[in-house]
Amino acid sequence: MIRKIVDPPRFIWIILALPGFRMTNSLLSGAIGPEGQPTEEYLLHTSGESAAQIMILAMMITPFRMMFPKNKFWAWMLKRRRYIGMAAFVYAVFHTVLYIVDMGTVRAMLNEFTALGIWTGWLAFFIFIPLAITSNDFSVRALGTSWKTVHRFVYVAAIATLVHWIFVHNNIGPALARFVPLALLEGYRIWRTMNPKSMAGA
Amino acid sequence: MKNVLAITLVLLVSAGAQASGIYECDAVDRSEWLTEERLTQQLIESGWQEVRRMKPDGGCWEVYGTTPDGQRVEGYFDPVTGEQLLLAQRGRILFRKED
Repeated sequence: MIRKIVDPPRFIWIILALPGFRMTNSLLSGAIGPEGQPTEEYLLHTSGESAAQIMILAMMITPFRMMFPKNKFWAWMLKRRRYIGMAAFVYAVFHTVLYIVDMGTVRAMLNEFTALGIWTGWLAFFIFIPLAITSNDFSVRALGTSWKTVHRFVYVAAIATLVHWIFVHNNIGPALARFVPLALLEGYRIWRTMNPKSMAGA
Repeated sequence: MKNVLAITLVLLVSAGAQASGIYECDAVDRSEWLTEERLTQQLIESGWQEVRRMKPDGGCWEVYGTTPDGQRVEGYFDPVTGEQLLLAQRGRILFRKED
C-alpha cells in the first residue's frame, strides 16, 4: 500500500524538489532573510545549503547500508541515489547562477576568485559537472571500473564544499553540523573496510 | 583511524576559529551607537559602492557591502566612531586593525 506511493520515481523527485518549491515561493514573494538579507542573497544561501545537504545525504547511503545491511529504508535509498545526486547538482547550478547574478560582472568574480571561500566553491561545482554527466546507465556501462574512480571525486568536492561553506560564511558551526555526521560515517566505513572480521557478529 | 579523525576535527575547528573573523568591540550602550543610516552615509561618502545591510556582532557594527575597489566584503566597524576595524572578503582578511 505505502510502497505504491513511495516506490515510483516521482515520489523521490517531489521530496527532492521541496526546497526548490520553497525557494520559488521566496523568489515570487520577495522574501527577506532572517538577518534582513535581500531575496537573492537569501536564496543564494538556501540553494547552496540544499546542494550541500543533499550531496551529504547521497554520500551517507553506503555507510548506513554497511551499518544496517537489512534495513529496508537504506536499501530503498540506494536505488534512488542517482536521483539524489542529480538533485544536489541541480541546486548547485541554481546556487552558481544566483552567485553570478549577485556579483554582476566577471571582473568582480575574478577579483575574489582566489579567496579561499570562493575557489573552493568553484572547485566543488566543476567536480560536480562530470559526475552529473556520467550519472546514467550508459555511462556506467561505458566507463566500466573507471566509473567508480570518477565518482570518488565526490570526496574532493565534499571537502571543498565544507571549506567553501566555512570561509564564505566566516562561521564554522552550521557547516560542521552537517559535515561531522558524514565524517563519522565515512570513518566507520573505512574502519569496517580495514577490519572486515570484527563486525561478523553484528 | 580514530587518531586521523581526531586530528581532522582539530584542524577543522582551528581553521574555523581563525576564519570566524569575529572582532570584539568594547561594550557601549546602544544609545551611543551610530545609527545604520549614519554609518551607511559615512561609508558611501568614503567611496563604498554599496552598503547592503548591517547587524550588530561582537559589539561592533558588521556591515555587508562593496568597497571602493569593488570587493564584496564583510566589515567590522567601531559602533561609536565608525572606524574600520576588520575587512574580510569571503574569508580572506583584507584589513585588520592591530590593537
